[in-house]
Parts: sequence; C-alpha cells; structure tokens
Amino acid sequence: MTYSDPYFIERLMMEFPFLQQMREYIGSFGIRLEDFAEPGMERLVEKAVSRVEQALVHGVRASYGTGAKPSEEEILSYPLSIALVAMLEDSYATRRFATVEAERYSRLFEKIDPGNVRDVLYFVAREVLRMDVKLSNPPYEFRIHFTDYLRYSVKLNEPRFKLVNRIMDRGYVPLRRPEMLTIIKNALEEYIEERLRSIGRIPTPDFLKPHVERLRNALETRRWRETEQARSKIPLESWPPCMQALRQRLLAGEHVSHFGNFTLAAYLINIGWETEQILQLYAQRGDFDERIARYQIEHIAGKRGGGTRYTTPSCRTIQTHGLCIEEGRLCGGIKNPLQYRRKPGGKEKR
Amino acid sequence: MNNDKKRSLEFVRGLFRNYYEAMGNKIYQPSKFENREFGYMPFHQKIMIRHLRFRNLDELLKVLKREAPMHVYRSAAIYHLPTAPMEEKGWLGAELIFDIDADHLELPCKKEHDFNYCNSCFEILKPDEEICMNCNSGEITEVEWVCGKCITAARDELLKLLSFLEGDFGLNPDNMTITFSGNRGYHVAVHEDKILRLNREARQEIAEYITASHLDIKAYGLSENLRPLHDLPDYIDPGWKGRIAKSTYQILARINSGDEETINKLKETLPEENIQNLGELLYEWSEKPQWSLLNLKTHSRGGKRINQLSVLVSLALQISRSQIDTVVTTDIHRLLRLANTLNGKTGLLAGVIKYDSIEDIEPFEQFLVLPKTPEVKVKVVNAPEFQLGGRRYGPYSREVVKLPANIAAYLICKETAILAS
Repeated sequence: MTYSDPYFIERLMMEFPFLQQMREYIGSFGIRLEDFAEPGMERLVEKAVSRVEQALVHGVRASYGTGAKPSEEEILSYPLSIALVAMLEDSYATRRFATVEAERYSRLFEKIDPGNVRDVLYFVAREVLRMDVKLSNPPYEFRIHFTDYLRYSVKLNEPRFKLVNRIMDRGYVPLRRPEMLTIIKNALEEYIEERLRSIGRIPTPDFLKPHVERLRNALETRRWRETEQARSKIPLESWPPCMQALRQRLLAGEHVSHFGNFTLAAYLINIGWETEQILQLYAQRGDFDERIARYQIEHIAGKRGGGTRYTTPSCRTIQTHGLCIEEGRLCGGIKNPLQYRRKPGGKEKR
Repeated sequence: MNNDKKRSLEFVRGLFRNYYEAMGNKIYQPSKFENREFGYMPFHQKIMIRHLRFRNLDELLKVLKREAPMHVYRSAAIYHLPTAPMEEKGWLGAELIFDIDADHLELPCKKEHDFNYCNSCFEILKPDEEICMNCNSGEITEVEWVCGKCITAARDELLKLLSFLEGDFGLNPDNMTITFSGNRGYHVAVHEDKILRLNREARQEIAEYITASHLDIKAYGLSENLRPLHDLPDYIDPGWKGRIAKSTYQILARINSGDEETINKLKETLPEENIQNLGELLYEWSEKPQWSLLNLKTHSRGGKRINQLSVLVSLALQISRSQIDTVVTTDIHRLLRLANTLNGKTGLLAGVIKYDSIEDIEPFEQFLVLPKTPEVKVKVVNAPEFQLGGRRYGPYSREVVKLPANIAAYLICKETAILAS
C-alpha cells in the first residue's frame, strides 16, 4: 500500500479530520448543528463538550490515554467539538485545543501499522503540511528542506535539533522517523490552529448556550490560574543572573544598551511589576527622562502603540547581544529568563 | 566641523555627484523595488534619512544626483508600506543577508595599521589611547585602516560562507548578490523565494550553523566513547560531518609539514610530544579518518585532563567556520548598503562581484571608480603605506602632498586628510 492508494487516503481522512478543510469535513457527515439538539444526541453533545473542556483545563495531558482508534461516537462528536471552540472566539482556547489535537494525532500515528507509518508521515508532511520532503533510506527515512525544518525545529529545546548538529546536504536535512514525527507534531499544531481560525465566527444556537458558558468558565479558571502564577512577585535573589546583572549596572550608573534596558523592563513587566515601580528603578539613570521612560515602559507593557505586550527576549537573543551570564550555565537549560527558577530552598543554582 | 574639513567633504561630495550623474544607471536594482525601504546618510550631517520609498530606479537616481549622499542603503526586507513606522510597515519577507567584515576577524595587522589622532594637535596615538598625551585633549579621531591582508582574510571567509550556502544549504548562486562593502569586507544577499519568509529564530539557526556555534561534537559521534567507524565523520559526508573530517585531516597535514601557526596554536593546550605524534598520523588518515588514533587522554599545559580528540576537532571547527556578523543575519529589518553605490568611508564603489570571479577580484583596483583628475594638494595627518588602483602611496605623516582626486578622496573619507588651502 502506498500513500497514493485511494482507500488508504480515505481511511486516513476519517481518522484525521484536520486533513481536510474543516467546513467540508463537518459537512461531509451530513450533520448540521441543529441535529445535535435532537433528543438522544445528549451523549454526543456531552462527549464533544467534555473533549473541549479537557483540552482547556488539562492541556496536552488531556490527550493521554487516547491513542487507540477513535470510536464511532468520537468521530461523530468531533465536528461539534470544533464548532464549540469556534463559538468561544478566544485565541487562547484555539491554541490550546490545537496543541492537544496535534498531540493526539501524533499518538495516533504511532499506533498505525508499522509498515505504513513511513508512508503516512510522508503523506501528511507533503500533502497536508505542504513540506518539501523526500523519502530516503534508513536510518534517515526522510529528508526535508531546511526552510521547512527550521520553521518547526526552532521551538525544540534539545541540542540535537539545532541545525548545526544536523547533517545538511544540498538544502535538505535527513531525519529519522521519530524526529520526523516530532517535526510533524509541531507543524500540525500550527496547521490545526490555522484551520480553526479559518472557520471564522459561528453563532451559538440556544441549545448550546449553557455548554458554551460552561466552557467559558473553564477557560477563565485556567487563565486566572496562569496569571496568578505570573503575578506572584519573584524576589530579587530568584531573578536570573542576566537580569540581576542588568539591574546592578543600572543602579551603579554604568552604561546599559538600549536593548539591555528593553530586556530588563520587559522582564519586570512580565513578572508583574507596575510601571511606577519600574520608573523608580530607571530614575537612577543619569539621562533619565520620566516622560520618555514612561512612554517606553507603557509601550512594552502593551498599554500604548499596537497594544501587544512584549515578552522578555529569549535567552538566545540575550546571548547574541552579549548580556547572557556564563552562557547560561547557571540557569539549567532554560530558553527564556522568565523560566528561570531558583531551586526551592537552595542557595545558588549550580 | 571646521571649514577646511567642510570644504574637503564638499570636494568629495562633488566627485560623488559627478559619478552618479555619469554612472547612475549601473546602480543595483533589488527585486520588488517599490516594496523596499531606502535610506541615506548625507555628507555634513550624521543623521540617517530613512523610511523612503521609490517606485523605480529613476526616482532614486534623482535623489542621489541631488543629494550626492555619503552612504546609500536599502532594506533587505520587503514591506507592504515601506515608508510607515517600523511596526506598521507590514513585513512581507526579507533576503537572507551576510556581512563579513575584516574588523571582526581579529587580524594581527589591525594593530599595525589602525591609529588614533588628536583633533587639536594632530599627535598620532595608539588605537586604545583616548586622551592626547601631548595636549591632553580628549577630542580624538579613530582611523581604521584596511590592508591587503585584511581584504584577503575577508575574502577567505567569504569563500567559506559561499561553500556553506551552496553545498550545505543548496542555494543557487544565481540567486545571490555578492558585493564588496566598499571598505573592508563583503556582503552576500540571498533572494531565493524559499528563504524570504524565514523568521528571526530560523535565521539565528542558520547563522549558528555557519559559525559552528553550539556545535556539539557528540552529535557527530565524537565523544570519548566513539561511535562505530561507519557512523563517524568521513571525507565524503555532507555538511559539518564531512567538514570536520576534512579540516581535521588538514590540521594533521599542517602539523606534518611543520606549519608554525598550527603547531603554536596546538601548543597552547597539547604537550609537544603529542603534537609530534599527530603529524605522523597523516599517512593512516589518507584513505579514511582514523578517529580512534586521536582519541587520547592527556594533560594540558596547565595540568588539566583533556582529550586530544576534542582539542583537534575544536581547532577544525575554528578553521572551517565562516566568521559572519551574526547580528546582521538575524536582523529581519536590516538596512544594507545598496550595491554599486559609493561608500563614504573610502570613496570606493560597493560593487557587485560575479560569483565565478571572486578569487580574481582586487577590490582596491577594480572599485576605485572616482576619477584621477584633478590632482589636489592635501594635508595628510597620517597614513601607512597603501596600495590603490595598482599604485603605492605613502607612508605619510603630517605632510602636504599632491595626489590624484580619487586618492585624496580616499584619505579625506578616512578622516586622515583635508584639502590644503
């Protein structure tokens, strides 16, 4: 069986609804939203709602325990799950659902008959994700173009995924099967999110309103917990070394580059400092101009300009600008200063 | 700025204007011209005028003829609205750009030819001196000189870069614009469709690949517990894998032939008898790399336990990486010098170089495009001996000399000469 076998593709489509256009998919079952209002459909509705709820509350953990072929019920309730995510009209919810789905798919890929995995991955990469990919000989069964590789590999932490640690041959990166699966999972996440967004708005029919309300509450709970975590102020001794150094230099009146100032301010905003507190810190500078500083801080905080709050630059960027301390050896492999955590009870992180 | 300096710059500006009036149509025309941001630096004013947009080359030329600017720049990026503030430009993609600058190569000749001088008494100071010992003035001009060695070293880095781009990244040289920077380095801009949308992080990965930073030699099987031979770097392997094998062979060959630079470098870490033995391994390595023969624990000069293999491989990485400026490559909004325009730091043309003529190029001859006439008298503060347009000049030290216009312009641009009254 090869990827071009029509029966094979059809089966694949059934198991992986995102491989088709979402609206088409929902349509293909001949199901309209109203059908779910019929008596006897409660079980399917509950299935659909709880799938979304699980994803919102538990994230990728929600996909654990799945992996076997989806049941009839799951397949039938699926379009409704998707519609429910669209009704929430919330980008956080969309992203979270996409992440969980991508995880679920990659588990399904692992369950496919081993003889077919290579072809399935190839099909999904090429036909669905539109990657420039070629089949090759084991152990490197796949070769993907570096531009496609980089698009998804930059999110991966492990050094072995860094381009400099890969073989590069005339533009293509050879990958082993599990590595290809990792790349596909990352790509699917983006792809599903995009697909979900492309559905656009779906008005909530009355019979679903209580369910959407329930999902909104789950979403709020989740978000509230996350911001609480971020708000709990981090004491100075638990700041990453680079931020401590920037603060020190600022207080000592030493020169701090524009990027250095931006980085520290973005860090402080992200750990929950208020503009006034940050201003006080910057007031130590010889060339301090409150008006300009306030504008810049509010800009970083997303209170001005485009309204997007800047996140703290990544460790990598900080390294490029020469502000990283000891090449991150003190920080335990984090990618962003915000992830820095001092060992509980410990003195220094070694 | 004093009047003499102003007059001197105005003289150079006149030469620039004449050049653009006569040769303007040779200016490089980046693709998607109307989606680019342009900028220029005028003479007499250290402020960049940017966020400009031109619909075509003629519009740009009009400005160049009128302003005769010191430097002309264009964005590597293409924008929906090139004239808008940065956040509102609407980034549509950017060429993948590389900058090689001899100044970043830490060459020994830099110390020999760079100098500072005092603006009030013209005393020559060493590059690190910031206060004049003669008159205590703190007004200093820093002069960075460029010699043949600088340019050759930069060209070697360029050739390595191109081998990465072509061999490893499979990019087509037809889609690259290679230029002399007009001063002491080279630029490469890749405009292949596939790479335009690469984000900052992806470009960082590419920059790290080319500079071998964060390269983990264990990923290539080279740890103390070597992988089986068939899985270790071999000469025929693609990418860094093959490069590590070839450069390590090269190091062994250099030791074997008694190359002092290599031997001295290794002496910093390895004991002398190890180095001697390494030279003799060359024969064993001729067919296929024999990694196990290098895998020896030893003690460094400082008494630390080290593995000979990792010392050699890290030297191999040093020779085969290309020392690009990673900040430039990762900046997706960067302005870069517009090719085939004049560089106001030298008066030389930042000229396009054909891919297959890189090894023959003599930038200090070929890109000396300003006219020789008129000859003018200049007061030269200081200049080491230098070669331009195939002729030798200098050394000069606080003297008045009569020079062809283009040579005088070079020294004025370098801020080490002014027109004599």
